[in-house]
Amino acid sequence: MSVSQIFPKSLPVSSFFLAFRGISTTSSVCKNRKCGVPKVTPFRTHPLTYEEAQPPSKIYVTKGWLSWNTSNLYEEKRHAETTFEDLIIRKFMFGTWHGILASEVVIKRRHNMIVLAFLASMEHALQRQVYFLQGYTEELLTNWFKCPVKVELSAVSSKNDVIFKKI
Amino acid sequence: MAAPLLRSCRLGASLFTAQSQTANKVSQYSTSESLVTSTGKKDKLYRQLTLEIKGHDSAILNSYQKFTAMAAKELGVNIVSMCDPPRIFTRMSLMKSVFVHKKHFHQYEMRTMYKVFQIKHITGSTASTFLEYIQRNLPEGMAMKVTKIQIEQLPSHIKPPADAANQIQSSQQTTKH
Repeated sequence: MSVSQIFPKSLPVSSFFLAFRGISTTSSVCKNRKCGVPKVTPFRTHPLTYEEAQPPSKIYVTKGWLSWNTSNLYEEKRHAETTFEDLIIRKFMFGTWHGILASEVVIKRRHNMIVLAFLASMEHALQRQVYFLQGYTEELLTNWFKCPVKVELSAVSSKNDVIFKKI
Repeated sequence: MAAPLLRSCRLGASLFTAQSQTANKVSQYSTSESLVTSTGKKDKLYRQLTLEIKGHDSAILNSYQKFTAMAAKELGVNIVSMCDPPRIFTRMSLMKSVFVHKKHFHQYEMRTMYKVFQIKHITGSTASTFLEYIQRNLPEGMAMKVTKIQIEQLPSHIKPPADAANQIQSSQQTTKH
């Protein structure tokens, strides 16, 4: 099928370029793109928490880890299982506590227990909603992972309280 | 049968004065050999407990070592050595490109630091109490391996040769006089 079949000759030439403009056939520009380092906005209005403000290279220097478990120690088991469970927990927390989470969730494992620690902003949430969500989270995750899950949340009055800097 | 008060484990207190030679041997333990547990069985004797602890963060390991030493001191548990064996770094190299673009080479590493505590001469009840206390306070991201060396009696079907048995008997008689 040729181009002339798709675009009849009656159409202007500009429409031809318009249709094919989206496809780039040149090789990609391999710039050194950093992951985990947010870009600065034109007027420096984007708020960041302390956790987000530290680049990944500062882990173990100015900030700690978000998952605390023994699976990555030498000669220990369950790397993949632990990582995948943590992923599910983070997804679940993001959806369940939508708009309430004011920080990342720290997942701590000791023995067979999972402890979830995070900040909850009370700006748009009622107290009884938070109590419900706490029980809901513990109950569901406990049943899914077949081990006790505890929620240890700290409340902040608004997300403005956790702004470390604006970029 | 020992008095019920003495039946519970007395951490660290040397309660009993050695009355015979056999009692002398076990007097270094925190409880006497003659003590029986509530189920009527004799308490176990451990010659050595080895606690191997590993974690990612040396600061937490040091803190835990301090805690364990303090707990052992308060409870009178005899920790003979606390050492840190060589650490192990597991490295993962990441290079998306097969050949060029060495600028984008990344290396991730998982650090494992160790601590080894050795406890000598401890009874079963003391060991279980002490271990439960320190294990319940084990922080997140730290693993512990406990190796126990228990003292067992010779099985009844193994007996010393006749000469040796006579010698033991005669030596016991002399000590009684």
